[in-house]
Amino acid sequence: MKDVLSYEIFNQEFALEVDYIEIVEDMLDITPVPNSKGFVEGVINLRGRIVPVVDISKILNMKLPADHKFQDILILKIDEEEIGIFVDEVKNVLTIDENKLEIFNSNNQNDIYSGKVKGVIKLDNRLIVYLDIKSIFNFGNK
Amino acid sequence: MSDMDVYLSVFLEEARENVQNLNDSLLALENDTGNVERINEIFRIMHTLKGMAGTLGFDELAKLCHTMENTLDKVRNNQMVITEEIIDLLFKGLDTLDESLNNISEGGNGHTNSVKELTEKFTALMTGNDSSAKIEKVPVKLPVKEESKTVSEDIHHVKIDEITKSALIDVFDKAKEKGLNFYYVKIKLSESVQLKLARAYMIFHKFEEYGCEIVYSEPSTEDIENEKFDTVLIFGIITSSGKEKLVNALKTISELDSVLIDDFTKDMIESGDEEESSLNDENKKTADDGKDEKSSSDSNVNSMKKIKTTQSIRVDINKLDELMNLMAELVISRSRIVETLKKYSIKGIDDSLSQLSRISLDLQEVVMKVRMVPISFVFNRFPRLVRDIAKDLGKDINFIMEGEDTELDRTVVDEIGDPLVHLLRNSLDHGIELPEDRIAKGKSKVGTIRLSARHEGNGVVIELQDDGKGLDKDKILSKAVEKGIVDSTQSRTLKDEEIYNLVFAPGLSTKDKASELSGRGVGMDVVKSTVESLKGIVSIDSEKGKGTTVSIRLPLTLAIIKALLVTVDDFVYAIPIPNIDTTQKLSDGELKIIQDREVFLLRGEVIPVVRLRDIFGKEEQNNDEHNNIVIIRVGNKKYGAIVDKLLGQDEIVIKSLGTLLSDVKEFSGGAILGDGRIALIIDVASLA
Repeated sequence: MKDVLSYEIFNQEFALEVDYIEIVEDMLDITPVPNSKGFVEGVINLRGRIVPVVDISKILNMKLPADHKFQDILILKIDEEEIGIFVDEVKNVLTIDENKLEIFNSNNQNDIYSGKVKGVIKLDNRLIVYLDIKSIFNFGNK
Repeated sequence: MSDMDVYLSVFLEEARENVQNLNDSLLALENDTGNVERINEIFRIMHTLKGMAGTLGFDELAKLCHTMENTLDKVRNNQMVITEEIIDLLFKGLDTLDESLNNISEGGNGHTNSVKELTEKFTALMTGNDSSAKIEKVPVKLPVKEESKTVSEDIHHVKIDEITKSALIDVFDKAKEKGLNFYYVKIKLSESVQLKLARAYMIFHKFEEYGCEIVYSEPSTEDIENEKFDTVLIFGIITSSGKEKLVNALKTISELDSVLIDDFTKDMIESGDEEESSLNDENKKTADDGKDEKSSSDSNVNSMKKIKTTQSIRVDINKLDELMNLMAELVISRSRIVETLKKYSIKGIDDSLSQLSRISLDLQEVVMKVRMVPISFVFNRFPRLVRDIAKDLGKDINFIMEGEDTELDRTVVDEIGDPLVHLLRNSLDHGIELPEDRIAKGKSKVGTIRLSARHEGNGVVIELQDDGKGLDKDKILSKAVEKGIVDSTQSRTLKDEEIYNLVFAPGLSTKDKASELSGRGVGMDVVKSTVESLKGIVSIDSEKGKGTTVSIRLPLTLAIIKALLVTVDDFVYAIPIPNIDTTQKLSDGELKIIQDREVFLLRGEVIPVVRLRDIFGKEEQNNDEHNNIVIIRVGNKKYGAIVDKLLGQDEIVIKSLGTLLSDVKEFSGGAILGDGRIALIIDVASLA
């Protein structure tokens, strides 16, 4: 069994392991870093630490309206490194059984979720995309 | 960390220290083979090492130490004469010890092949030199002298303060009530004991094993844990086990001189009090202080020495970084408070604020200093290195080191080792001539290499000087032209200094054939790039026939730099001050396009120009009137960077941007400014 936190980006619910989550912050001033990867929005001053912030909707090729304003930054700690991701709204913590996930069985390499998702959590009438956050950032490093 | 790990790390630390001492002593001995004091010193070190290795059961290591010790013993007793062969073998022994210690630190048992091999060599050496002499097998473990029964001496003194006394009496009564034994245990460690702390742990462990509860100890448990004790330990314990059983159990621990167990009586508690109070009167101190006073005045010369050496603890460097971060946050919060309070003029707040500023500045300085280590951390291994290389090359070297206690940031010290090794090798290999050549040139037969470190301004200068043959200007120049580093017309206008500094260019090696020591690709260009990555500057000066001097100038710390803050489109960027030549208004000169490249003409000088806004991929805005140009110098190159505004200079704390942004080569890091904004630090080399 695993505890995951669900949050929303543009009406789609996502989830990732609570182990990776450090804190949820209100939107902070972003300092853009010129010439960085497209999905890196910039850096923030998180109580004296410089933390990069990522718009994962860009990694997932979600088409968001240009004037979309995110509400919160979810600060993650992956391999001792802090990374912030933009979210609209943080929902709640769910306990899930990783063996009972609906696995994405798509062979289509162009699928936006291919290699970035562990599966889909079905809960009542919610469909939550369970992200493989580590491989998302490995993908980012390539 | 398990108990064993604690012993191990103590052992390794102490053993390494001893190996380093051994190294120094051996080097000294080599220059003065008749010095009996040196031999004794080495003998003592070997003995210590042997004891430590034996204690922890690294038998092979102990055996090697033992044979080395025996060899020295023979020398000491004039049964053998120090020859070069012996010294070499001792050095090899030293290397092997080091190797074995590394093996242990990686979880091995210190039993490497060379340990055995070398032990045999030493044995052969001894028997070969003096076949009549037998190698005595000195047992590694010292026998424990038995002393189990009460001896009525004055050893039953217990120093107890008032509070402890009543508590002890309480415990005493309760123990008797329950039918438990209340014992007085006095343990004397042997004088030559290594790793006292380890012994103490083992004693505690035994007590635990036999269900003993320690109700009293002298010195206090805390002091014992901090190794603040002499060879005598006194405990009060409550147990159901019998005396005999305990004595026998404790005797299994090696290196104990005596173990004494007796009933703890009420009288002893009472009398202890009297003694203590009389002492208190003398010293006019509180009971607790008096106790400390007493135990320290009790301690012998050995522990007196301990006090003199500075007390230190090991701290994880990450914790220091954290401290540094918090420090920076504090500074930022302070400036915010100052900003906010400016709006309301509150009386009396100015004083408190300036005091706060002063304190936080002091604190910042202290935190910075904590990260500093003496450069001897890297210098220490050089005498040996020089000796070995000089020997291989058949050169006589007088190696002088100065300013080893100059302090530098830990990170800088860690990185500077390899470049220095390279420079030393260069001096030895290419700089200093062979003795016969030196004599032919009328120089002293012994070449001198001087390595010095000193503070200068806001940095540290490391200088490596040799009195060798110096650099060959013409050869460097022709090589540089041949390799296309400079063109032949340009080459005629170069100053001597500029020619010498060409050796730092990649791909230039004046040595025609690569030797084993240098010229293997890791060249001066690597030295230069390492130094520059540390925000330092390296330069070389030379005089033909007289020698060469390489100077490395390093900042004290990597964490804080002076930087010029500039804006481009309202975002702040920082440019390190050491790289800035001047700043100019664009109106001071003239912008022109020459061969498709924008240049800035300033008093006849043509300086290539980069527009930061273009590099940062931003749209051009028409605010030319704000345009300033910062002239940046990287190595021998100069260029101008066009920015919007100059905000002034500031000391900034450099922070990493993280791996996600490691591909952005334009920035070497970020810094948080007083108002909470982030300034990206421009990597000036990337824009050149």
